[in-house]
Amino acid sequence: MADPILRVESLSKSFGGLVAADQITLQIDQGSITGLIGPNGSGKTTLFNLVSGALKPDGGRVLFRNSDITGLRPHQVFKKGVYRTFQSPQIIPRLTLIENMLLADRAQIGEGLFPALFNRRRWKEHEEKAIRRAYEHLKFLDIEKYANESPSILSGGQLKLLEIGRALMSDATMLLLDEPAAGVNPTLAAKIFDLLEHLRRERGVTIFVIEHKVDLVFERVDFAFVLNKGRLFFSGTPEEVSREQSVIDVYLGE
Amino acid sequence: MVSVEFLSYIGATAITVLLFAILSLTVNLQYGSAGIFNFGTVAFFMIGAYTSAYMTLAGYPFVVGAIAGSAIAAVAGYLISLPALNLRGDFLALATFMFAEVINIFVLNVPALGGAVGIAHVPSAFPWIRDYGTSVAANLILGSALFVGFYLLYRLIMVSPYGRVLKSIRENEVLADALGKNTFRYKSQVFVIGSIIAGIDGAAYAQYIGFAGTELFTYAVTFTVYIMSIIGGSSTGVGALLGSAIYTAVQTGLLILKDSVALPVDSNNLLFILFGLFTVFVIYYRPDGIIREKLRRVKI
Repeated sequence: MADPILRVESLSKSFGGLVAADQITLQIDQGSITGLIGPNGSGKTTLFNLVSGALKPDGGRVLFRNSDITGLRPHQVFKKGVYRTFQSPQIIPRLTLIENMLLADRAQIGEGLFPALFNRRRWKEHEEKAIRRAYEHLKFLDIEKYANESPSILSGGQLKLLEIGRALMSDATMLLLDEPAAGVNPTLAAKIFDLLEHLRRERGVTIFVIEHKVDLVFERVDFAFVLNKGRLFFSGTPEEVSREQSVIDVYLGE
Repeated sequence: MVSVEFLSYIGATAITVLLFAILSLTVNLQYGSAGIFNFGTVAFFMIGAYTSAYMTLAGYPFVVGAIAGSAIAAVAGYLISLPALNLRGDFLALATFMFAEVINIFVLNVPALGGAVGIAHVPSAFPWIRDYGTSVAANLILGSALFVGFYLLYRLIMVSPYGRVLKSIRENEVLADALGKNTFRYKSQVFVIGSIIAGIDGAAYAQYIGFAGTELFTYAVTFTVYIMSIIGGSSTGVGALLGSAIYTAVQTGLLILKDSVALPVDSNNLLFILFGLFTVFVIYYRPDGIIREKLRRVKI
């Protein structure tokens, strides 16, 4: 279980004079839940953007399951098995919840032009199964009554659940979750983290999560990385991190 | 009893409606369903018209001319899509707009391509028909068949998972990319499909009016079909037909009105004024057009 699934080697990115990622090196163990914390502007989301392909790094490498994914486009990184969610939930307003979920289905051949037109029977068969699967996920997340509605009517917390739903639907081997419990009530936040534990246990999914609710993170993660000003500042088990005075200073010093 | 002249007039108007509805359908596919601002629509229409005009004048049948026209339009569409689709919304609109202008000005200045005179006596698709009324009827059938065919293609695309991906690109390209969709490839494909349809439509147009000239293929055509698309409903196939019908009906109506009523301004200018106002009205009160895209609900 201690094989690294993701390795980041001296990854760097600057925006003009601002160094958003400064020689970050870290690795994530397969099947772990790993937290990424740090004050605002410390480069957490930038690191996710670099790993997921939304940004191209200035230097360094990203290795996923020992294959180099540095500089790949986001859709290529998705196909390798990494799914990232966004800090502010992203939706397709003019598609129903079910269809929003179906977009994460990586096995639908009907998404190609020629199969869509000339292999209708096959994609329709697949679609039926995928709809059932999407509905089961929505049910599990307790938002199935909106299955045929636009996600624009959902509350902030429900949108977070939809993000998780798509992550479930994507069958990704690794999830990069950018504040999955931000802005939701403590009960729902706990539920979301229960879900993550369930995913890890049942499906062996590796989870890398940015979260500001430090107490929650420390209860749930196996390991945590602390970023500050684009640098890897500290790393350790939750106990080690919470005992480290300099981490506390960085957080409180903001 | 209505006269043959009257029926022919209605028929000719209906052909115009259909041929522009087809062009408007390409706008719906590219802009309304995939969010691509192609403001060079007329270029592909023109390429189809000119290619087919030359081919049929050289003695090839219309079908060959139309296929050649759509093929060259497709190649042009693919080539322009490669650099253009890397641009964002408004810059893509500018680049494609300029592409169409360049094509028009190029043809205008090369006498070998027709130059300012244009290409006269483009053979009809039905060279054996001599009588005007029959020719209108034949063109009406051709226009209807093409519209129905392209409409069905559009529907087939949009109800498939492929169409769902297009909608996701239209509404949230960053998310579509994160969900594993190669957005560039999708946009490029849709660009080419639209170019093929516009090319065939151009071929049908040139043989119908028997002429191809640069003054028929100015940017005004692009704006007109965008207006049709926006008014009718840019995300539905029926919207393209409705938009074209409304526009053409008002245009024709004003021309008739001109003869019996002293209009304060020229009927063509009045058309632009009216549709300018109408488009603003539609965008303000009903931004998705008269016929709106519905959520696709599924049985669970």
